[in-house]
Amino acid sequence: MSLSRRALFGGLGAVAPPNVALITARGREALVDELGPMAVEASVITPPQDGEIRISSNENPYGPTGPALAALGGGFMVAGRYPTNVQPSMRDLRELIAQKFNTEPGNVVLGAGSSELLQNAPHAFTNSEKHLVTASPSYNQPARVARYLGAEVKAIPVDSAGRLDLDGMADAARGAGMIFVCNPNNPTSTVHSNGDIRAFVARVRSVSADAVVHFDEAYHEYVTDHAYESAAELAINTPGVFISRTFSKCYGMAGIRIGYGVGHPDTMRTLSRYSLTFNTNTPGVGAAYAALNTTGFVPREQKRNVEAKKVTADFFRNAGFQVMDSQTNFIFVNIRRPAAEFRSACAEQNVRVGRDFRPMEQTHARISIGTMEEMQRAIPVFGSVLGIPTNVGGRR
Amino acid sequence: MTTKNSMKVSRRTFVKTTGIGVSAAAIMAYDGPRSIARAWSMSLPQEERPMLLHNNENPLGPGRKVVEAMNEALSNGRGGRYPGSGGLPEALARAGGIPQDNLMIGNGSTQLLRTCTQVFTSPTRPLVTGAPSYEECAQYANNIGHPVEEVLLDDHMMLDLNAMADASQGAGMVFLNNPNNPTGTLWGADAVGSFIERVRSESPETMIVVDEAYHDYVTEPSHSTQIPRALSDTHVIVARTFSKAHGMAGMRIGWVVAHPDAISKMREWHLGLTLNIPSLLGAATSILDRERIEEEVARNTAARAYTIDWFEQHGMDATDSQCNFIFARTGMNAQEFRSGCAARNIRVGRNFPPYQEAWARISISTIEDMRTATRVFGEVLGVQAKAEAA
Ligand SMILES: Cc1ncc(COP(=O)(O)O)c(C=O)c1O
Ligand SMILES: Cc1ncc(COP(=O)(O)O)c(C=O)c1O
Repeated sequence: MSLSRRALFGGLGAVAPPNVALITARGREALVDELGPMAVEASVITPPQDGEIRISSNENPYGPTGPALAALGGGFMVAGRYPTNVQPSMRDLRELIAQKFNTEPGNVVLGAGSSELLQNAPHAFTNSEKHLVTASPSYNQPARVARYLGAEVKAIPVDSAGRLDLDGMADAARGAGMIFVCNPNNPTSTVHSNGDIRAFVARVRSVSADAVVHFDEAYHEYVTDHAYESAAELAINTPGVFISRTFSKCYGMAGIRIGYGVGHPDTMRTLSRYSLTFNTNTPGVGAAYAALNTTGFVPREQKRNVEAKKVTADFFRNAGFQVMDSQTNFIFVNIRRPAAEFRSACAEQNVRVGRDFRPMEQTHARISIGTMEEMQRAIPVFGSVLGIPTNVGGRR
Repeated sequence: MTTKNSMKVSRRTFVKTTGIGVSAAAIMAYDGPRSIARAWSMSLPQEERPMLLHNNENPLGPGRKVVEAMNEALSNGRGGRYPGSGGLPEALARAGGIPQDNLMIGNGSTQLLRTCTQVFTSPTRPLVTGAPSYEECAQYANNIGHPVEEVLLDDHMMLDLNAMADASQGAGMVFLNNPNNPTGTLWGADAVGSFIERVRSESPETMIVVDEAYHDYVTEPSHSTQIPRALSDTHVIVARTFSKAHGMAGMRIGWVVAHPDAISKMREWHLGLTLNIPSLLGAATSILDRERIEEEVARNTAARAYTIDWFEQHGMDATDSQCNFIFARTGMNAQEFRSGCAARNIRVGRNFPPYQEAWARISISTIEDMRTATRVFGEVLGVQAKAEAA
């Protein structure tokens, strides 16, 4: 085999002809700049075609973007190498993330999904003497880990609008090891403003000099509320504060398992002591790198989500059901009956919605936002299950 | 054979484009196995990229069928979905008769070794390990404040099984790397069996974790896997990985076989959400692709023999490695050797105390790469081949 065939990806000749319209839409320039000859057409992949509508796990139904897919395809061929030994390497990805946040690689840790960081943070920062503060309901994983490690968990109830009780959480921070703040919150979908967040951190610091504050921003890219702003800058400048983000949601890479944390270098150093040695897979690192460099992608996916979400939320609201103010790719609806009942009735019609979220499982269901077409097919199913007449499916 | 006519398959694309009105998926075609000993880099020309002989990777990467399966894993937006088990438990059942209750899959064997260390050691129940041996468990135990007892190798640079069994009294877990990294050597089935029986009878609470990361590469006939024992013994766990002979180090996937009781203890802690979907489908394909593994092992065996031979012909020696790396007595300080090689664009293994004064660990790449590499070693070590001189 000639040297040139062996270079880079070797199989470049096999790339399908580009679809000009899509490349225009997705910004080929960025793609070519960053990926060189690996740059290929940005393609759209269809969601599952087997009839099932899976709106249970807050996934992006389209999956990875074209540039990310191309990076994955190329990455598979060099997957014999650990992710430090292929470029873009873990280090390159950390540098790119640092650059996006105007900071240094020492402020960034990678994870096998943000889940790994949610596992490692309570391990690093809570113990039998230093409790965890979280909300109820909220993303459960940190609480589960803390309990396993024998740490107490103080779960502060959300208010009636599904918003975190930040004052209550700050009060509970006295003597805590860590406070987990899911913003926007899963499953309630609500968000707090940057002003709220800054005041919260100040208030935490007034009762605890060293409790670590973890802002889970898994749904950051989907937020449209103008009062919201990431806690990243605050985290970078404040010891003991960090954020986590993921490529699983807006970026459509839940199956690829790449997430990251950003914060003060001291906090990140402690956290990274718990990181798996090679936590991120080689093709996934390349895909995340490509995704971050795909200009225009986030606003487009955000817009798509807002449109499909509006149709869905409007349906429930018009029928007199309360829907919390969603800043995510899912909605939390008061269906006035047990989620389990609703879930199994929907499942019978091939629509999968979210699981129980205690303590609200007797009244609320979480529904992820799929494609517009999926939501238009799901709405009549919701209607039939809840006894609401619908013609939304046909109306558009 | 996939190796020979790689160009013929190079035009195929492997992700199906089944959607309506959807553009063709942009996926690289598999171009046949080829050495990726030189790091894949966007910025450096091929000839300037370093040859990587420092992490015991498979220089050819995953086989054609595996690459196909991984691309297939991305079809229909599946890369955007949280993975299920990807058919891997079923494939392992088919390949090795391993019931699902005895199985746990992890982000490389690294994650599983850590889970074992987390769950089976404690501040009062130490980890016992060889030294030097694979450090993952010891490092992690250190991180979480659990004590570690290191047992030096014996005079033949073999894991000192007697001393390790002695040290295991009251230990939470003993880590047995067989064959052992960095020395490459192994204990045969009889010796391992007696070791396990001794620990089981003298310290019945101690978990015995046998790391068989390099199992596929072993050519020594006295070796056998401890998987059958792990299926029934409550205190024996075998760790395996797809990172070595299967060529999937970058995919991050490994597995353990253990008694269901041990598995359920591990599950209470283990984070299941670390596995990516292409790795699951790729591994499921790879485990059933014996032909590819046989080719890979044949390649490694020949290149390993060539490299050990080169050292011996030049008046140095090497251990009887059963792995995809060798441990050679260069007579030079490992750091110095490493820098010398690095200056000539080859990266070799790090220091392995207490052998850092004279020994180097060198991963085995293709035989062509090893010819280049040994020429460089000759320069760095200032030796001349007897054969060449003659
Ligand atoms: C709030 C929140 N954090 C973290 C995660 C985990 O995401 P991942 O591990 O895929 O990054 C999720 C997934 O549902 C989530 O909702
Ligand atoms: C003996 C041994 N065990 C485990 C591993 C970890 O491999 P992985 O996490 O890639 O499965 C290695 C890697 O070098 C190794 O040498």
